[in-house]
Amino acid sequence: MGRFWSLLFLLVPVLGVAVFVFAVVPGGVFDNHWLPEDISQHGKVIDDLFMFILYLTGVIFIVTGALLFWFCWKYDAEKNPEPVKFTHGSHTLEIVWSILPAATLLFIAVFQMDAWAENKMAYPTKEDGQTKKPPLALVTGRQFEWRITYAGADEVIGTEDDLHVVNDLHLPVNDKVVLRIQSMDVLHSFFLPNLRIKQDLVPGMQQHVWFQTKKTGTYDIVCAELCGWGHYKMRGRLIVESEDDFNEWYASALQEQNRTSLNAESDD
Amino acid sequence: MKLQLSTEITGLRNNGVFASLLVTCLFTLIGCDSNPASFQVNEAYIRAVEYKADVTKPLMREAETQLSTAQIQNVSEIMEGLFGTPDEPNLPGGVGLEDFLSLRKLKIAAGPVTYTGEAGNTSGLESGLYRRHCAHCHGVSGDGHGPTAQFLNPYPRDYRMGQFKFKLTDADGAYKKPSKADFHRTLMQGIAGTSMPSFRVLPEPEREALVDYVIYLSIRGQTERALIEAAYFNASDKQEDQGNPQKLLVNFGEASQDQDLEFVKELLVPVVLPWANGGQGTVQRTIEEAPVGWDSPESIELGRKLFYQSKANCYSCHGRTGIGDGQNNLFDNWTLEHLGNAQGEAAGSGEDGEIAGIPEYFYNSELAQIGVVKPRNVKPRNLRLGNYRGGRRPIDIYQRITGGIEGTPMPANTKLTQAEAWSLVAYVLNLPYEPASRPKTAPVFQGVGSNK
Repeated sequence: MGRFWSLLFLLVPVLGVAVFVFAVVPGGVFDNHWLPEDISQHGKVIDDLFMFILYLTGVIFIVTGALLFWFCWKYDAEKNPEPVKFTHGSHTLEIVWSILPAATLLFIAVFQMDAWAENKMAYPTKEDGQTKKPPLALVTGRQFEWRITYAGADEVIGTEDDLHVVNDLHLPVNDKVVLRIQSMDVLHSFFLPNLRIKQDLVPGMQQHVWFQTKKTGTYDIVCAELCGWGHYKMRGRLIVESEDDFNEWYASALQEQNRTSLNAESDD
Repeated sequence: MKLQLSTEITGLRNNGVFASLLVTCLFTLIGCDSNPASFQVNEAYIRAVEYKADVTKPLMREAETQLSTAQIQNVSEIMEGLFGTPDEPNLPGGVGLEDFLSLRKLKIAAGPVTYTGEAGNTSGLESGLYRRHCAHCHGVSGDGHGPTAQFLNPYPRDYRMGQFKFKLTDADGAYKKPSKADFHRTLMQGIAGTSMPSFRVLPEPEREALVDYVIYLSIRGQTERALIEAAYFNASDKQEDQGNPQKLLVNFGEASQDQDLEFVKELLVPVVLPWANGGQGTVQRTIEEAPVGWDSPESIELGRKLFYQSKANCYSCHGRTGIGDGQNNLFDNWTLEHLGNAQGEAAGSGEDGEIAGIPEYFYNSELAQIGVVKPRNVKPRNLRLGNYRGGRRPIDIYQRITGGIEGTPMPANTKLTQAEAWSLVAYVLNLPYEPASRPKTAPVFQGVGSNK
């Protein structure tokens, strides 16, 4: 066997890189396995951070994998009859490999600070810059659907002019949107893959997410926290549309909600 | 000695772990084939029929007349002939079912789960939709007793009685079968306050297939009930029948077979008729436009008065403040059936949600196996939560008030005028937004100390 094992170790970095390449290259076996289309204004920052960390760890992964292979290969027992010598280590080396990762981590921590603040702390304000922008809608996760309550004209959630819909979140494009999110029962995670938004929902806590869309279309709302046996089907539909389309949809949905007559022929 | 024993046990346990690992590996390698899915015979209803007929016996199994195994087997065979199997559904001909149900759609909804492009999938659509999305709660037979059903409150609907709560077809105090539009709405909206989620993201054709399949399961279930009743009628006939010693409904392969099948068809006709509605399927009723000002403050005030008057009598169940704390000890039809003749004594709640008067045997696991689950009282809705199971549109609330909710103690109110009913709708829709305790002025006694 001998050096066969070292070749096996070599497979780890080779296959790891291969999977990555296959995922990125379009049209291959793993087509559509890379990042979903980004339709948000802030998504590039998140993606860049992701890629930066991926390249950083990728380089370390390849170097470590190659070293592991090389040591296995070079110091194979059959080729090296001389017994190993034990050393008590190198103080300098230990300092180096402690400080290097620590400095890297510190760098990442500082480097991502703006992105974090932008997404989690800089609550959007109205045009005056002083008053907070009220949430457009409340999204309530429950086993296993998303119930959505639009605040309506008065911009207050929980009043009579609210619009209630299920699994059907419509948003105006290019608008800075604030959503209030909560869970009705257990832990869920509100995940908009195309908007690079993911926030855990803790029962009893109300949280806010904000983002700005830049492209119309139909996208997914999914749950990203195992919440029960039906977790996989906790899917909703996100429709980003022009301001006019949004207003039209909103008006018709509200009209349907306030419906006061029923025609036997109508198929609602 | 003691030590040795424990070592042996550890050894055994290790062997057990090893064996289970081996078994897991084997299953992973060769896959585990299960038997094809089959419709379960409605044993709960067989017991209910046997039990109700003999009220002197305390336990179902001691009923004087029981269906024989051969009779139950016979019912299953007839059912399979009429409706096929969960993998190969069939529509019995000659009763007009094909006018409003599509066998093609049923086949998409039925069967094991396959995806487009997969071997065995010929329709170009995903198939096995019912088993993928519904069966784990509603059961393969539509008995509302799938594997996850027991964890849910309320329990999932048992389709086999053919009764449904939320529909816009009921009118004039009479319950009708739900229309396809009603089922679509339930699939789109889910049922708030229950475990029924929304299936809005499913493509329209898939939802259509599921609607047809649920109607198919309902008609199938109702037919099965009719057959069980007929079989019981045969069984309770004490006279010997030379030509039919086992008292079967259909003697397959005998001379009487055609005549027997004709009899089965006659049973099927009254089941299909209310669903078919002349071949077009049931349609939603007409609700005339609400009168102008139906949601004005005056109208809401009128609704408030009606809420407490005997004419509408809402408060007796929904409580004086509308939080659903009125009469809480009633049952829905699905539970009442399981309670058999215990339903008379069943009324009355004990402490801590325990239901007084229900014999202990209703909780046993053998009955749970066949779908007779622990009975729960039906709770009047808390009207202040803004949570409306059948929909929150004014017409939905109007329908619940004037059409009632089938299978539950919520009656259809035919005494209210249209305007009064709309006032009540306005009041009910306003309840979540008004304080439960309205500030009252302190009582003023004349001549003792008036503020004036």
